[in-house]
This record gives sequence, C-alpha cells and structure tokens, in this order.
Amino acid sequence: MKVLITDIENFDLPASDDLKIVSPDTGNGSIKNCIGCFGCWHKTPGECVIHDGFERTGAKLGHCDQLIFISECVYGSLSPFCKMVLDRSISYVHPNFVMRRGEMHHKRRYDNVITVTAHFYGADITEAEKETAKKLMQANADNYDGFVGEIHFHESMEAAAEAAKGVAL
Amino acid sequence: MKIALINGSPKFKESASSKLLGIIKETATNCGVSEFVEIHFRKATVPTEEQLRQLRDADVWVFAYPLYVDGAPGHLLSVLRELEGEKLENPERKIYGICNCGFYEGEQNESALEVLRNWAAKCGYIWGGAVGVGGGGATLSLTSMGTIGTFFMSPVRRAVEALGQAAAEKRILENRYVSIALPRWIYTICAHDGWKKKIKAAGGKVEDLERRF
Repeated sequence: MKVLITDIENFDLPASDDLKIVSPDTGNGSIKNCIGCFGCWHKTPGECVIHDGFERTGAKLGHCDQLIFISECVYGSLSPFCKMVLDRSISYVHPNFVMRRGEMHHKRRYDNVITVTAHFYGADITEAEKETAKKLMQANADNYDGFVGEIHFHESMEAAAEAAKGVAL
Repeated sequence: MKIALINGSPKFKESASSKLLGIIKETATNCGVSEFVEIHFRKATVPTEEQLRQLRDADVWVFAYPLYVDGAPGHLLSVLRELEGEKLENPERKIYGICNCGFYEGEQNESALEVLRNWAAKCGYIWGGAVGVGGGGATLSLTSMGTIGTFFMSPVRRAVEALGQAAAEKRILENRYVSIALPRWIYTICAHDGWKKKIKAAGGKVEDLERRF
C-alpha cells in the first residue's frame, strides 16, 4: 500500500485500498498542529489525541511500503501542511530509543519498511533549499528505518502532481 | 539594541525552548543589552500587528524551537512564511537559532536549523549562527535538579551562552552542536523508564506502548 501526502487541494487521483491520500481535504477543516503532548505515545498509543481527521495517519504509515510527498518546498522543508501531517504521525514509531549507524533513533512500532519519495514544487527553489530537502528526506527515512527513493524538484504544482501520479498509480 | 526572543514551541507551559531562550536573555543582559521582546508562536497563526511592530523594532532575532520529525515544526514554518511576506526589511538584521531534540546527538538538529537559515536568506537577513542541542528532553528536569543538574547541563549552557554573547554583540558564530553531559546510556534508561511511568499514570499498561492499529 502507498500513502501519498500532499498539500494540493482537490487532488484528482482516486484513493483506493492500495493508495491512501492525505490532503487538506482529508480532515474536518484545517489541520491542527502537533502540540508536543506525546499523547500518541502514552495516552492513546498509536493515534493522535487531536481528532480532526488526521489522527490515524501514523497507523496508515504502519501499513505502507511507499510514502510519497507532493509538496511545496518551503525553505528546504515540506510545506506547513505536509509537515503538520508528519508531525502528527510520530505514533508510527515507538517512543523508546535504539541506536542505528551510531545515531539515536526511535524503535519501530510496525514491521513494514517504507521508501520515501518526494516531488517538491516551487518557482524559486534555491540550491541550498534543494540540499536541505534531500537531507530532510534522508533523515526521515533513517528515522523510519526505511529507505529514501527519488527526490524531484518541479517549477510548478501541476508538474509535481503529474509526475507523482506516475509513481502513485 | 533590541533582541527579539522568539519561541517556536507549541507548549503552553515551560519548555526546553523557553529555558534555552532564558539563558540567551540572561547572557545578553550581562553583556549590556536591556531591551528584549518575547514572542511565542504556538500555532500556525498570522502574527498580530503588535507582534510585527515589536519584531520590526528588533535588529537581532533569536529563534528557539524543538526538532519535529527531523525538521522545524509545521506551525513554525507557517509563521516563517507569514513573516517573509510581511517584508520587515532590515539588511542589518541578524538571525540566530536554537533547535533542541530528544535524541542525544545535537547534530540531528542540523537540517532543521538549515531551514531557518534558508528562510533568513530568502528574507535578506544575515545568518548569525545556531546551536543544536541534543538530549533536550532532559533540559527541564536537569535545570530543576540543583548542582548535579547544572553539571549535566553545562555543555549546553556554555554553547547557548556563547550564542547569547554573539547575539548581544551582533557577531557571527559558527553553528555548534552539543549534548547534555549525562551519559547516553543513562539518558536512554531514564527516557524508557519515563514512558513506562507516563503510560501507567494515564491509566494504561506498559505493553500498550507497543499498540498497533
């Protein structure tokens, strides 16, 4: 199963059992930001305590083998929306620590292995921002104990969406 | 000379970010700075007119925020974009950053600080430098533990004091990455023990920490 997280509203690709789409249309209104309470680890383990339609994204990640982002590149980061989705999904991992390749990371909660792919878009993405974006995707893959796939940069949202559809389908 | 202390933690109560900004304020005060503005962005909000006025008056901005999933918190990205749009232009303005993470290695904050640096470049501000703090999860408890806590916090305090001094003098500093002095294995044991206590306090069982959907 693939999980596609995008900041594009009315994203025109049908969700299915093989493709879960998380977009601004997923929730019951604007997404709420993570409040750093760690309730998804100790109060309702595996699920965010904020019930706005995005609380089960961590569980979706637990059943996918590909995580695809289509996101505006904002200072080298995912866009605020996509990043808020990711911030709200830390229940994908376990709170305890493990050491991997000499660095501290989170222990796995699920057994699946994720490959992270990204299609960033923006009219004026700088070289420094591209480097940061690549590092961030690698860091996400490392923390998920997965792999990083292809990272693409597009000049427009339409181009990113079109390219990503080929990966998602 | 006015310094803006900008807290990007979503927490209402005291946070590692607020503690670290406290060290900046204390150090800058000792260096002769008397004017500060303290702004806390907890949500993805549009800065108020009053906040913008305060920020416009400050020629040094120091951000402190937690590491969220390897990067800057999503709500802070939203605020940064709003601030870029406001064009609070000042070619002399210097930006400093502190990012703290629960992981032991301060280096894990590097990319999250690069995001702030990229934002500063887009706004036309000067990057002053940053500190990446590892073991941030212990910051609050260590600062309330007296002498022993002060000892374990000392590498972090020294690095943040150096940043505070640089900010007070509007000097550019190399980024530094530090960890608390508590050995990694003790930090890990304390963290794991903490989760067991927390889930029990919330009425759950230790094995619930493993729950899957």
